[in-house]
Amino acid sequence: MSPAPDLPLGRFLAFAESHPRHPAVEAEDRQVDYGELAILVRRLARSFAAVKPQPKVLIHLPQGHRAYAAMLGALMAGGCYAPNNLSAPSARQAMTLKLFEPDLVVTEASAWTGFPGDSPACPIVDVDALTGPALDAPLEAGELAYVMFTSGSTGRPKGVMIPREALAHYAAWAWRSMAVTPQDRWSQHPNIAFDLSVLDIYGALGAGATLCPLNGARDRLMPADAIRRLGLTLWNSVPSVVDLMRRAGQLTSENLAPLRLMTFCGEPLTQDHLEAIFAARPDVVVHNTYGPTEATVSCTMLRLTSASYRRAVAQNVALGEAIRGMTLTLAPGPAGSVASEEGEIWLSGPQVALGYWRDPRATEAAFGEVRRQGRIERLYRTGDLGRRCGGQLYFQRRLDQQVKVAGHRVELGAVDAALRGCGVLAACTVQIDGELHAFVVDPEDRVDPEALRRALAGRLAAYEVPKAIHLVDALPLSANDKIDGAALIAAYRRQGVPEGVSEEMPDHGSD
Amino acid sequence: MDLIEPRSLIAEALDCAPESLDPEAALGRHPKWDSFGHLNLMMALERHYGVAITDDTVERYVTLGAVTARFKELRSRT
Repeated sequence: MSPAPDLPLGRFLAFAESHPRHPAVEAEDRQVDYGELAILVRRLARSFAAVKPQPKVLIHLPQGHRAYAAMLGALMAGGCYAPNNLSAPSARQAMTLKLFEPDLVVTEASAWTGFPGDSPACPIVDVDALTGPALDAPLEAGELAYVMFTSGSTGRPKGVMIPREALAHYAAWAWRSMAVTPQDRWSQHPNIAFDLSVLDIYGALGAGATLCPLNGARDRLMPADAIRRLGLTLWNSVPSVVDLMRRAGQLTSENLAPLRLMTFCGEPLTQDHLEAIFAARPDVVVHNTYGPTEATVSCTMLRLTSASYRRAVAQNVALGEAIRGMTLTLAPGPAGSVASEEGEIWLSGPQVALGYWRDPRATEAAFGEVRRQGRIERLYRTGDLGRRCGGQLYFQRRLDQQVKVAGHRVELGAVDAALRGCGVLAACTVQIDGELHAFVVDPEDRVDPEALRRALAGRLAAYEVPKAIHLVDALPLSANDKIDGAALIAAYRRQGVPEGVSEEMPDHGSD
Repeated sequence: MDLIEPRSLIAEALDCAPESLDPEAALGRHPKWDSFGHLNLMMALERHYGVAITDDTVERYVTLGAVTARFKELRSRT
């Protein structure tokens, strides 16, 4: 039985009614209790609904209680929202605005520097200058909860449409599997434009817990001592944040003392990560989870303890099994994998997105339907190759051109499109040892790699800009005349191009 | 005590060649100056230049120029 679509909002409003003085959001400078947050949600909902019934709301706010209130306010007004990534280059932000075509933008004076080029044609709501009364009860709602814009292979971001039903299913799973209580103090580390933040926001605020946004520059760089200082009981992030903690020498039993549970998603968790965590806190529980934005944050889970984790480690940590209500199958991948234990991970069930925003072609390519127990369920083909081994499911690799850089999803095609946008003739970006390398065709020695990197920084997020740009005379082609990324990687490994230094590479097409 | 020169300090923290640090070098504008590199740099600044790691300093020391300014300030005191 699926939970009611408005369960997350309903549970937040009910808890705020019964426990108005309980802390909802605690930041360095300010504590906001449930009563105060609910008033803000209700006032925002009223002002959003006044613009248009079931409004599309673009949230242009930094992580913090105003942004969370705007999300809940959009839901309460019966509408949906898209969070804008304030740290993305302005060209990317402008593209999100253009694609989403919001009915209104919600912001605060200090976050508002406007959009480059075209100003939004819609009304702008200043969260600190609300006038008028609050909304008493949620208005009749549309199907969507939020649209999350992610990297698209052509350079045009893809908006993943998550329905309220999916959000409710996921939040209900989180409350149950993480046994969240009002005594929990929950980290809010990921940027609100990444869907991992959805777990923090609805997991905490739908269960009466206290959400602690880590938005200070020091806390983002050295987050482990914030766990101790803020008394966090729940930690959620991508695994590479553990590497930051370790490098800062902060992964200590003192810093991790308040934690009862750490949950990870977004990129492979490794044995190294687990060993470092359990060395500091042998009694903490770790959840490894897996899932694409297209299936609402995550839809598998594996519970790991210091006593049990070794049984679930191969080249990385196992993903666990599909959560209740979702189905995971391994389909034979287009790469032609033969073993029946290996195949593309297909997900179906109520958490699967409705498709991509105004992009029927991309939707049709990745989404489908399946009949299960007499019902039609949405299905999403992840493009991830999975493998079963020793009773466990492991992530193998991507089947397409999508990679993860420190947990961020990057379409290599988007980087190539940006390179072409900077005037490059042809380019092929590949990932080598976790880092992006761009091979740029420059037969006449006209490209200045540093100038090109600077130009790219204006078009791409910092993590999408290649670490190294290699100038080549031509790109190698495979038998079917496609650019052969594997040949570029092999040539790079043979020649050992020095890090960060651009150099000529021979034409491997004649190789 | 000899004060380590800014370019050498940054190059060591970022594990890159000093020559790769042009005057424009900054967080996100050099291949090795990412969040991991920046963390190493902040720890090196704390050790060598006595810079406390705070919100303010993490946001201030994001360019070669800012690190050089701190170096000059320390040298003028001695």
